Amino acid sequence: MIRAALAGLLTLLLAGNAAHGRAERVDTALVLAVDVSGSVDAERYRLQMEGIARTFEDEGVQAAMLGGPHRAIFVTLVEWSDRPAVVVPWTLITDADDAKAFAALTRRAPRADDQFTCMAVALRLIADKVLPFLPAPSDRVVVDVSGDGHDNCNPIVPVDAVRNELAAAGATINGLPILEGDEALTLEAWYRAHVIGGPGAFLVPASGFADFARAMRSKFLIEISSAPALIPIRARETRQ
Amino acid sequence: MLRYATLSNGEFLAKDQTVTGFANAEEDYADNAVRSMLARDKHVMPWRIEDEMRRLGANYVQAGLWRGFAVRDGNLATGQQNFSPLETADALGSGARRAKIEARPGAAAARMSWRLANRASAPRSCGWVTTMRLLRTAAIVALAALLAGASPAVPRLTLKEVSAALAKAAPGAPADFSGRDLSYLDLTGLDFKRANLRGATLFGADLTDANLSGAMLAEANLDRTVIIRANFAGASLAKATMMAAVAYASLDTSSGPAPNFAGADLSGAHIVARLGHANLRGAILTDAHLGFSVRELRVNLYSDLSGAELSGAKLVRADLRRVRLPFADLAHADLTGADLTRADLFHADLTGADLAGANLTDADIAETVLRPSASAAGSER
Repeated sequence: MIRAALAGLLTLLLAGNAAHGRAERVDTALVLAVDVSGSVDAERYRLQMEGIARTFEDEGVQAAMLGGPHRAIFVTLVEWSDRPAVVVPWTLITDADDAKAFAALTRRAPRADDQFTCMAVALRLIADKVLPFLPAPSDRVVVDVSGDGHDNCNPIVPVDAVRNELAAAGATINGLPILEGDEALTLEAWYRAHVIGGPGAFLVPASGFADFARAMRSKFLIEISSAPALIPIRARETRQ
Repeated sequence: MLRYATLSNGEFLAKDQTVTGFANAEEDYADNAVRSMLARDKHVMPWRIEDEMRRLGANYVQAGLWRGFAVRDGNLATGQQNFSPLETADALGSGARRAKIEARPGAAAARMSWRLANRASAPRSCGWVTTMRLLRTAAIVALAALLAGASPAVPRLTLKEVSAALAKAAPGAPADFSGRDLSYLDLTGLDFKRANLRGATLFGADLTDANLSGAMLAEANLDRTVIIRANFAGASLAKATMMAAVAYASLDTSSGPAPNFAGADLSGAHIVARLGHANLRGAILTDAHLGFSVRELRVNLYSDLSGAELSGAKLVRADLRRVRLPFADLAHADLTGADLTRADLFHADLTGADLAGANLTDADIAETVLRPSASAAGSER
């Protein structure tokens, strides 16, 4: 009995070590970049965060996340508006408990109180201050950008230039345009032209904030899993 | 006007000129002030001077949020904003301040250093821009060649390189940026993990929320940096320069957390900045220079340490001429031999402070607390 207890303790310690970022390599490094600009009111913000949290609590998604050769992914949550901010730093996910813990962190994530949709600035932060701090090498780097508007910050370096830089470095930038509000009719095309890029990039539009959770789950399953898409999602060919 | 003005050959007049104008930080301030009245996702101004000048190929420079500032390049003088009439007038007057422009070959931005001249009288006037193009290309090329020959150009680090170096840093093996150029980088929020930045140039860098505690910054150039909520606790800043650093996002220095210099070594440093309410407890400011005489300093630039926490700080022989210290906490500070000529010590607390040999000529000591320490008072009985 003592041996069993010691074995259990050892397992717990090892699992704890893994959960605290001791992976040597992971399958995917995933950056969730969520729009919190002025058009995202409290209810829309809640729908986004709840949608992400439920995705991580979904058993099918968990299986996809942990189905790679390394059975581990790193994920981080970035909120962006005038200025981007990392609200949940790189978090290692090696089992269902880790995924649920990340879901809990997402629900408690503080919200930046800003106005504009500065997507180029957000991608710049991800390129320069998020990806360099990845705790361990990853087979893939994926940046998920979601939002309900195009970049309106008049950036000196436009968003597609930063997107191209990320893609050239091997990252895949996928898009989840939320088609609700003034830009609903044009946003998908804009995301396709200016946001998504890199190996296997694609986008999954949400028909509104209420549809965000469904779209997020679909996108997760496609980008994390190696299985082909089972629903008709318009995929983007590789962009150089 | 500079956005549209062109020469007879069609080139924009501002191209390759060093200019200033409303900074993006100031536009952001204005947007925030009237946000409730703005339509969604709209700015107050349809376009921004800083962005447009850069787009036109001008060398845009600025002195920080709401700083009175002007620059003259040949016969083109520009003031940063409505707080800059004196500086603009000075720039326009004869024998006034000149900018020595250092151009680094291959670099997209040029750094600027100031040569301070004797003050010449200049009438007060509102800021305005004179436009006349002189042939200066040969002079600038010659100057650039001279400077390039004088010292080898140090390529500026990219933010990605800084991040990568910091990611690799470990206790006992900090990142080494000594002598490197980190000017104008967005270093917000970065944890420097006690990095070695000795002699580094951080001119114009944004260090908002950066953690530089325990870092080595001796002889570093922190001029024009943004240090809002930056943490320099225990850092070594001996002989560093920090001219016109921006420590607050608004004019109200009591509005938010101040930069932290607790226990930092600032001996011999040159500092001219608004550091009201900053934490300088136990900091070493021996031989530091925070004050300037009017004759030396042309601009409306001064050190403001109103309400700063300087208890227990060492300010031996510090130059505090004209420094604003109202309501500052200088309890038990060592001001031996300090020069406090014309310093504003209104309501400052100097309980137990050592003022042996200090120069308080014309200092404002109204309501200043000058009690001895409790232990000293007790031993006198």
